[in-house]
Amino acid sequence: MTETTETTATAHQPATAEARIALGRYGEDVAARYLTGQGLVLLERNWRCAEGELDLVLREGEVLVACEVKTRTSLVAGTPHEAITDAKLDRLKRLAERWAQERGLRPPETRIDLVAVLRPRRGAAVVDHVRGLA
Amino acid sequence: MPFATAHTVALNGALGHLIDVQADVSPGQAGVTMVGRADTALREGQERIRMAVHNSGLHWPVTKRSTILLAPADLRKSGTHFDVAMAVAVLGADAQLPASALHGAAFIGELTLSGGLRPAVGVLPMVLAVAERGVRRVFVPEPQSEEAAMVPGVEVLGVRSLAQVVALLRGEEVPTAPPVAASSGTQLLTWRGEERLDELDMADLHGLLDVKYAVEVAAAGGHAVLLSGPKGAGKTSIAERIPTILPDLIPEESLELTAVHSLAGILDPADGMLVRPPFSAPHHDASKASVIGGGHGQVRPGELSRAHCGVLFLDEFPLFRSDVIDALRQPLENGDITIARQEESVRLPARGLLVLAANPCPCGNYSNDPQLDRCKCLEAVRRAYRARVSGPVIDRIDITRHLRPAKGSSRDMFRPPESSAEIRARVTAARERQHERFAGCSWRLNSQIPSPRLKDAWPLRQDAQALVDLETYRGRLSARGAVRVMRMAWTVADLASVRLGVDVHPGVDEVGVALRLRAGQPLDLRVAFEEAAG
Repeated sequence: MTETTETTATAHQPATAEARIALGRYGEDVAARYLTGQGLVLLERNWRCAEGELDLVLREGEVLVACEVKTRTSLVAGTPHEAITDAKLDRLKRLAERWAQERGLRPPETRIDLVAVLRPRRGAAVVDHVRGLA
Repeated sequence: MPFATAHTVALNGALGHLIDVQADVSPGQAGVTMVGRADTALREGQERIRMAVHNSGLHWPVTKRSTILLAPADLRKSGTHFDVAMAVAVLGADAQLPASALHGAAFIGELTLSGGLRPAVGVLPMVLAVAERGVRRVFVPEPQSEEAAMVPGVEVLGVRSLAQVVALLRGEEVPTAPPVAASSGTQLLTWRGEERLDELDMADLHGLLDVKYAVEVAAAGGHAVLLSGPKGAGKTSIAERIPTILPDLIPEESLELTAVHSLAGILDPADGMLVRPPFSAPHHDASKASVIGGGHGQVRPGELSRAHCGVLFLDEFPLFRSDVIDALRQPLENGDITIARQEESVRLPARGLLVLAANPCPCGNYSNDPQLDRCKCLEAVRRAYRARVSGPVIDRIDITRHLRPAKGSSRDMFRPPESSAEIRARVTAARERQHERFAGCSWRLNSQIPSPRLKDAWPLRQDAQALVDLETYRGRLSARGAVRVMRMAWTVADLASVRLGVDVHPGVDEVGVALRLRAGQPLDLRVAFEEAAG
């Protein structure tokens, strides 16, 4: 059983690093469009620092929203939601604070969101927006 | 509403607490959080239920945050039988079950990764507890369904898998599932003659009329007995046969004992309710936890509680560990035992008839009669041995009998020994008199009357009371001893009433017999068996 799962997993994974990056970029595009459609204001994309990267930085009212985008073509390796561990969540929080600090901003509230984008081989992409991961 | 509540039970000794398992399934960081003082085995349940739900063809809310609360949150919970309740609470919160389905139902069972159930220990006391709290439907592992069905007024659903539970809750057709594996413990050894106690009868023993009368009194009123005498005198033979003269348990006792055995995990589901009084004879090396009860995590009833309503026989009593001997004081007074733990104290029933046996010295050959004395023990050793028999426990023993080695001439010449059935008939009748007298009270036998009530409600005849007072005044009887003699006088009177067919109120004769039984003096059996004289 393990063996078959593994073969399917590789079959669903984009073959090259380039393809993976392209898939990530596609997911971020979808997420950005979805969120701005929901009334959020996009401030920055792919902000990097020594500690890591924020996929999308947005504002919803007075709340600063750091958004992590996870894109999958199948659920063989688990749901995108499960990929957010405690350690990752902590890092996202630190990054969001750092982002605000570098810009001299003091948002009254900061929130971490997740946008899971599932792009099956056929059919339309499915977007799930989770507001406020713990 | 992403929220649902299912009920289950936490056991704290023989006390069951109704537990609300509340689950909330909301968006957030995906995962499971469990709160409510769960121990490790219970906490691991979150992994079991996740896979069990998945492998039952149901959907686990993987993309959401599940929070499981076990309320009351301050009560320490242990065990693995919470799994089913946690699983259905999560499924209910995820709107996979109709909200009303969980109402008034309780769930007991541990899950396997494949979604099957595993058998649970202590189902009877659990179901008793939830029935009192208004639960009308219980889901239990199939092997325990007969046990659970002993509780009246509760609908019992024996299930094999989580899928079956869900189907029942949804009102769908119940899928088939492989049967629940038997309890992990199994008898490693069986041997021929294992059940030898079934064959015993008082008629096997010749002579010993005095001792037989004493155990008849003990059996009728629940009075503790000490049998002393050299080896081969028949101490063990008598003790083993005491259960044969006890009547079948009354329904109330039967339920209590079955609950204790369920808690101890020694109840064979095929046996149903226990109706015969148990006999338990731990070895003198036994630890305190095994005799009194205790153990790690879940408190296990000891031999003392397993012999509830039956006979606990401690052979070679002075060789028992002193902590075990000391711990016997409370059950001898109250009929229950409290086991104090770090965070809780647990009360278990312990109203068995206590029968102690002691040799006169460690080698067992000592005799007062120099002609028979073959003892090789040092005087100091003998004295140390006796010191252990005396003390606070002995003051709580009602009946002391000294047995002598049987001689050829002690065989009953004139009539064959009475059978257990004949004695049991008298004991049963004497107990029925007591049940009638104590109707509506919290106790059942003479030995259990609380001492303040004894003097108010059931006084002895005046001259008999004067005799007890005189013995106390002379220092031959402690205050506790006096109360115990008065209780025993009632039992002697009950047995006399049964023999004579008239109502005997305890008077000087009955108190005299009780005093002699207590002091270990030989009985003048003509007084005891007035029928024979008259």
